[in-house]
Amino acid sequence: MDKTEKNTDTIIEIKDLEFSYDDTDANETDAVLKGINLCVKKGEFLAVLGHNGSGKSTLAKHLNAILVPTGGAVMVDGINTADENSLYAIRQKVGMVFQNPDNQLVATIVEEDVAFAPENLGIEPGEIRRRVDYSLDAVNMTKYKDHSSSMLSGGQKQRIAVAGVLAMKPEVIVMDESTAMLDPVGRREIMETVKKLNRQEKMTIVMITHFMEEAAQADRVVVMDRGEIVMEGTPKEIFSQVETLKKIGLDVPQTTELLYSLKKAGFGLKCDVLTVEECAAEIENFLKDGGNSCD
Amino acid sequence: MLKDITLGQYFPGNSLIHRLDPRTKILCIVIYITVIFCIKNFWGYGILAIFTALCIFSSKIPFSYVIKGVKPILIFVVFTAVFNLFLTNGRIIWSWGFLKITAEGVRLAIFMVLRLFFLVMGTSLLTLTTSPIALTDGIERLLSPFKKIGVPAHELAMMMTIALRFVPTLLEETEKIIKAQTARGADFESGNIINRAKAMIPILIPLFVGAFRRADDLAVAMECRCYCGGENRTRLKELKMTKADAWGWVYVLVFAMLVFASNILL
Amino acid sequence: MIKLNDVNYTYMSGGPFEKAAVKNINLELKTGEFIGLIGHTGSGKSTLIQLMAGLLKPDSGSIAIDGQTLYEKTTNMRKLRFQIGYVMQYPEYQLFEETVFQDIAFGPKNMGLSEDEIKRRVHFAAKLVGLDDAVLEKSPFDLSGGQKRRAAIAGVVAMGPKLLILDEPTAGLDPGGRDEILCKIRDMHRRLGITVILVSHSMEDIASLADRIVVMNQGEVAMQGTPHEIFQNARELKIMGLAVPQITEVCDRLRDAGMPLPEGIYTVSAAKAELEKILNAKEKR
Repeated sequence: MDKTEKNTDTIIEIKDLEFSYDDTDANETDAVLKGINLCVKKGEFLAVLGHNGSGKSTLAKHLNAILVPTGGAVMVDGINTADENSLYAIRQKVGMVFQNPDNQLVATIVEEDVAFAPENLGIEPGEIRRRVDYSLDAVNMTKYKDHSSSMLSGGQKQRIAVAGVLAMKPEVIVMDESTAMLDPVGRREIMETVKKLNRQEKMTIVMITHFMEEAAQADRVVVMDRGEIVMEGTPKEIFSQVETLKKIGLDVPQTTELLYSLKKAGFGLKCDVLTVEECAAEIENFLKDGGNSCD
Repeated sequence: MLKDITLGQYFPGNSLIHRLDPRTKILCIVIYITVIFCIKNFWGYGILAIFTALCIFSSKIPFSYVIKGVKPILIFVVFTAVFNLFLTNGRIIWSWGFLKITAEGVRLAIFMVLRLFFLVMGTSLLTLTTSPIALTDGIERLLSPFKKIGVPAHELAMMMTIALRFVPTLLEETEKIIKAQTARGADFESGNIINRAKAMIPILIPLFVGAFRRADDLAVAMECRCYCGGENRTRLKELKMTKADAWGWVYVLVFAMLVFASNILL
Repeated sequence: MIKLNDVNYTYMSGGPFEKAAVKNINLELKTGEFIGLIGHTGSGKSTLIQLMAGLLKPDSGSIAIDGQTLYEKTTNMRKLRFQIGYVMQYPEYQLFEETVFQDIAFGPKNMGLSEDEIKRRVHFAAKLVGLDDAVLEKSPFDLSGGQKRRAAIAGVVAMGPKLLILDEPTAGLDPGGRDEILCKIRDMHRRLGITVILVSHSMEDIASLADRIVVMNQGEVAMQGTPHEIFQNARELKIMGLAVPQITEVCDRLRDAGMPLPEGIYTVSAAKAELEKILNAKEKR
């Protein structure tokens, strides 16, 4: 295989990706995705932000060949997703966790569900056991391995789903709105799990979400609207653009909103803060500096 | 409540019974059921009761929990009992108008109740002590000799795995929908049979729509986890017969022989 | 309007896992109040609203709606339920009819209303939730996610309940869909003057809508009061696994750092106003 052509830092490369569900008439306006260009780097934590119908989930489904582009190409670790012979190689490299925690677990017992993917891959039992134990440990669910999944909370079920994907030893984990149906505790559990996998296991994470607080924790944020990428940058760069975000039907955190409204009222505050701590510090500093300059 | 149904649910544990090979357990339950239908007198039921009690005891599952499995079929049991009680011909011991009870009827009713009772207890014990995957693995392996004549052993097993997995989910959903429609004034309790059947529509349609949606989601999720049928699949837990299984066999066969002996001798 | 007296409810459970229950609930809601009900998963808030909706029978204690006691022998439960609207979580799963119109009409039909009245109510309810007439003839299964949810809510509202209970009506929706639903709920509360109970995990939503907040913890009512009163207890709420709105946290931090901010600020606009005062004062000096 010719490896010189591919950039070793890039794990997923999306070039001019176009997609429409009805490919019989090539009507531009019906397209769900209109010319997406995006690279996912190895080891990064990327958030894809957008409202419902922005095309973000359709984009996610292209990352492991559930959907195949009607125009352009998606390359996973150098393999074109349109190549039907490499389907399982691609799906093994890019694991996907979905929205509904009840609809993606196959087996009743936790550890048996986690074993599902490696069993499909024909891995020998000893190695499956090791992978299952490792995966459950990585999502901190080892003590539930003999439990029935129906007795678990939503956040726990989603962690099992993450473990089930992890057991394939993927390069990338795509979280396709995996927190949308969870309560705040469950969402925090998943965010912590994902961040830990990204930091400690160097797992590449692509997080599809409409929650700002979650996107704020990523390395890089891509904002989608009407099938196109409309913004890209670090969380701070993105969230300081309050007007643009609101225009495309997205929220900003209350912290950003406060600073933005004070700024509009004529105070020279910076808006690129994300957390409560940063926001409070920004206001405090502004007051102190303001006080000092007057003295 | 619907959620309280224990039939078909797994009770995690690590007892002697839990550790038996599922194939042993499935074949033993077949023998157990055959034996139940062969019992001819109360001595046989005595032996059956002792054997069942011993099994439950060694499974370490609370007795009351196993009994709960019988609850959902209670109406069926009562119906069968009444049916046999009043409609069996023989020596009349009580009569009132056209109703009559015969000695044979009493005997038969008690037998039927006991049979159903032990039948459900036995099968509950099987599903309670065997994880669904092990159960379906066992079935798949037992059926695999018939693959040559076109029995889709793997597909059947996978369908069962998924069905068992979704039993609690769908029961929960049913309960939610019943509540929602009750709150909208749906009436499930009055009217004749046709009206009552009609009243089920607001529950059944959402349930089916939901089940299809779930099936769709699950199919995609399974594909994403590289599922491509039974070819070349390996297992986390390969099935293995051990010494315990040999003892299990001995135990069940002794039980069967005791029952047959009681049939002939007592 | 609704009064709960020493209400207890336990789930039957002989299995290996225990279920949430509620104990010693005493609560009184006044007509026209907008109640925000909060509590983490398993705190008993779902059980509580199902008890109030007459879908569960209390083990002990009594619940009365406008003086009529639930589950009393003389009470016709079916008729009484007509007065209580219950919107479950993900209510779109209850849709079943061929058209949206028929689905919204299901409740009113069960009430035995006349054809004309049903028609009037369906159109009224559809308008309230922001569904136009063209949608009414569609199959409910062809609608978008947000529309489905609003159709389901309309099906409950069309019954003309005096008390409307909504269990996390915004779950799973994006910011646009969420704002739309909340806006309609606020509208309904104002225009119809009915009592509303809103269950939500979002403190920001509760803060912006509720007149009074009831906090559930471990099956009991742990706190109740106005948002202003409740959000002064950030520490207690945190122990219960709950948060205060982000903006309250910011203000609490600034107050701890010595700024003269009042306690219990829970909206961005209030925080802005207070901070502006401080900043202006500082600049003048």
